[in-house]
Amino acid sequence: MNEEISRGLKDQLLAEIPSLRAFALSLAGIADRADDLVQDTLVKAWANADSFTRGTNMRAWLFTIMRNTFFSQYRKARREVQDVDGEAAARLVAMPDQMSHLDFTDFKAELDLLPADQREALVLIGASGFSYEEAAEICGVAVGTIKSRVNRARRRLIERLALQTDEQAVDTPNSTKA
Amino acid sequence: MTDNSKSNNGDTSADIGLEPLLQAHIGRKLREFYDSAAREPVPDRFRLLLDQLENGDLEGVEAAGKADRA
Repeated sequence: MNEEISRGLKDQLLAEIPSLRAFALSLAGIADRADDLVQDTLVKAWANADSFTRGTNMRAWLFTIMRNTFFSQYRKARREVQDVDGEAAARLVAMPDQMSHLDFTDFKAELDLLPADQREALVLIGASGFSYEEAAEICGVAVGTIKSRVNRARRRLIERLALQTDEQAVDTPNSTKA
Repeated sequence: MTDNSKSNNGDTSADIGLEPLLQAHIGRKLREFYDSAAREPVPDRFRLLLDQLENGDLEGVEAAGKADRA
């Protein structure tokens, strides 16, 4: 890599770090692990700079590296054996009185309870600003798969929100599963 | 990023029709979470890492990575 290219890449990577950290936190959940994931992504990006096609979306390229790294390494270490529904239900029972308005008590915690593939799709579409087509490319799946994951993630979060609202005896229609 | 407003429409399932407000709320919470993470200042750790990469100091990178995880 000559000096000019090296400098350009460095500046571009630096500019993408805030987005990379936000995406990493969405994927990995815990801040420490998220920053380790950012570090691994930067190192891989640097080593594979040749595979980046100039003129294409660098953020999408970096997100692809990051999510592939996460799903090949990090995911094994956590989330796999969570009793998702039981855990959420236990928490809901434990703290009904603390909810005074229609809101998530802890949105991040709810996000973490989603299956990793749904959470990833939801964040790419709902927060990172990627199109369905871009998200599909980043995740290496069909556009329809992304749509379906986003839908399931949204429905699940809506159910949680409705559950929490029901706990306060607010007269809200149930959002039951289809 | 490209305009994705079109592809974001038309995928709403009929059985969650009662919740456009909840959908919007979830969207807001999600962006709130993400944007606040993205607003965090870049830690020195990453500037140092990029310096090391630029200098071809991969050993330093690995050492730093190990130290961070220890």
